[in-house]
Amino acid sequence: MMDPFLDTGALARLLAAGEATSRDLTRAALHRAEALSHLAAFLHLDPEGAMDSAAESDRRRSRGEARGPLDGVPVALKDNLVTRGLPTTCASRILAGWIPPYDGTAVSRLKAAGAVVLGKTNLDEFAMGSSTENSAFGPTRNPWDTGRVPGGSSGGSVAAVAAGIVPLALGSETGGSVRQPAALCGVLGLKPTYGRISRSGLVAFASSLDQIGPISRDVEGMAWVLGAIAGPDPLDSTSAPAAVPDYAAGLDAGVAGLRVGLPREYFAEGLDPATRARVETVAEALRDAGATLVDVSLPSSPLGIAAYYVIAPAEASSNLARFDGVRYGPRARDPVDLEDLYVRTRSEGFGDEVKRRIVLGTFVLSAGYQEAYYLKAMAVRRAISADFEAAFSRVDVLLTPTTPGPAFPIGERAGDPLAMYLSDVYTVSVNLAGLPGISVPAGLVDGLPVGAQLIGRAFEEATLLRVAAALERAMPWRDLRPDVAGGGGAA
Amino acid sequence: MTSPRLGADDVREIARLARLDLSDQEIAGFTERLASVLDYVSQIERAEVGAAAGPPEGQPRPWRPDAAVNPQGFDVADRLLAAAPARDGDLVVVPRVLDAE
Repeated sequence: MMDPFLDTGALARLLAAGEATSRDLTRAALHRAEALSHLAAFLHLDPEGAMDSAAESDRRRSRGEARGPLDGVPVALKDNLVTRGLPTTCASRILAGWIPPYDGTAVSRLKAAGAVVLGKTNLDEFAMGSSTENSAFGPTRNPWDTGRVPGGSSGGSVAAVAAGIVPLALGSETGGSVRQPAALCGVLGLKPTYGRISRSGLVAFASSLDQIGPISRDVEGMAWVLGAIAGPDPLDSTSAPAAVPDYAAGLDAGVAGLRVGLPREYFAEGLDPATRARVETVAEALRDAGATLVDVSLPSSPLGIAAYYVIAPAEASSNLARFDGVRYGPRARDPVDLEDLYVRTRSEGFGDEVKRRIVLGTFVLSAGYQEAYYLKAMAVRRAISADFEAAFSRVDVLLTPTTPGPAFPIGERAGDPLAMYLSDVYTVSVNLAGLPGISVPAGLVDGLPVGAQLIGRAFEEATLLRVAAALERAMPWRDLRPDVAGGGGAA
Repeated sequence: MTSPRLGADDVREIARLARLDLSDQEIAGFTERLASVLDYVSQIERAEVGAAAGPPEGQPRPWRPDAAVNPQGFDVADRLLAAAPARDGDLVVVPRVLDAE
């Protein structure tokens, strides 16, 4: 039986050598997804569609027409990426049963590269959360400890990769929703530069922050998937016109001479000492590989969470106004008038955290408070950006912890939104500034994974991937595997 | 500027503006949790940052030609209508807005 933890690079080589077919890989992935259903990583599996795509991939390959290294590789998609003919719920009752009429741009590009879509993964409702507990369909469990959260909001996609179901997945970020769970489950998670990947077909949460992000076990696979889905798109006017480089080309170039900044605000109070020690090991590995470590300061970054919880809910309150029971999703029964239709559909359809953020966003935009909250938060956002700009005049990348500590127990922060929000304290500023960031596995703390975050200049994803590749060689994480061999069984 | 104390009536009114009908129990829980979030958020009021606001500079703001394109295919209207919860031919059905005359 094939090792389920083989990464994308290894699978691509097996396919190219004719030692495995896409049908083999897809069948095995579907089987493992079923066997590990207790993780609740998936909301919807598409066995028939996946096997059909796999068979097409195998036919292309046998004709010598394989489309590249991703052709035939099984992937998972966060369920806020719209997929033609496949349910897309955003883990919300308000979209239960909705079948989107089109594929999002990233989805169609991934399919065009030959990737096989296995199914749709669990998330915090509308990506609002940091633990995947806010799903209307139940929480996803961390493959390393099923009593703990996988992080969120892309917890299903990350758990599917960490558990060896698929080697690659797509998630989405607004404040850390790919990097944070990737850290807590021991895999790679990338938040590209704002505009690098089209948001068309990503259900909007906060449009000035949202960005699709890949999750992978290997850097090479990450480079391939980013190259496949990045680039301008006429369907998203905020997609950047910048050309897409060959991200896999420079992965072996090393980090000699690279200046790595350690922002002191990210190693201050609130960081678990054992997690700090793991991140320091990563810094030492980079220094040993020839990089120079530089002390830097990002003084406004500690305000990131506060600014984020004004800006993101403000945008969400506007974006989620479209869910009113008129055009898609279930509709409240027997409304007495149009207003009643809106109010009851929304009140029955949205979960608590989504309602809270809509109320918060409506409040910070309301007359008398907009200036104190929204405009001030936008000024903080600008200051955070300026900090990064100043730092990047002195260094090439920044190295920080991804999270303050390892995964927390399910339920621990469910009643305390603020404690939950603070698990994104090291990731949100990157979204506010629109920069690229990647979380790289940094080892284990008490048997649980933690991550190190690399932050780069806008559109310098290639640099982040080169540093991640150097770390992959220096401190390989291939053997970081959760013990999920038993498959089913647990709750 | 002091952080406002949101009372239950405020939360009910804001929810109404957002087309949400919250139960008394929801109102009580939301009021308490929103207060703790607003307390935390209010630290931005004391932040000494410049007046410049808005998204970071350098983000792409490209214009596109005002050309008619239909990348979704010509059957997209049918597919959109098929997703609506209530439909009558080529129309989405909603409760009557104007009085019948």
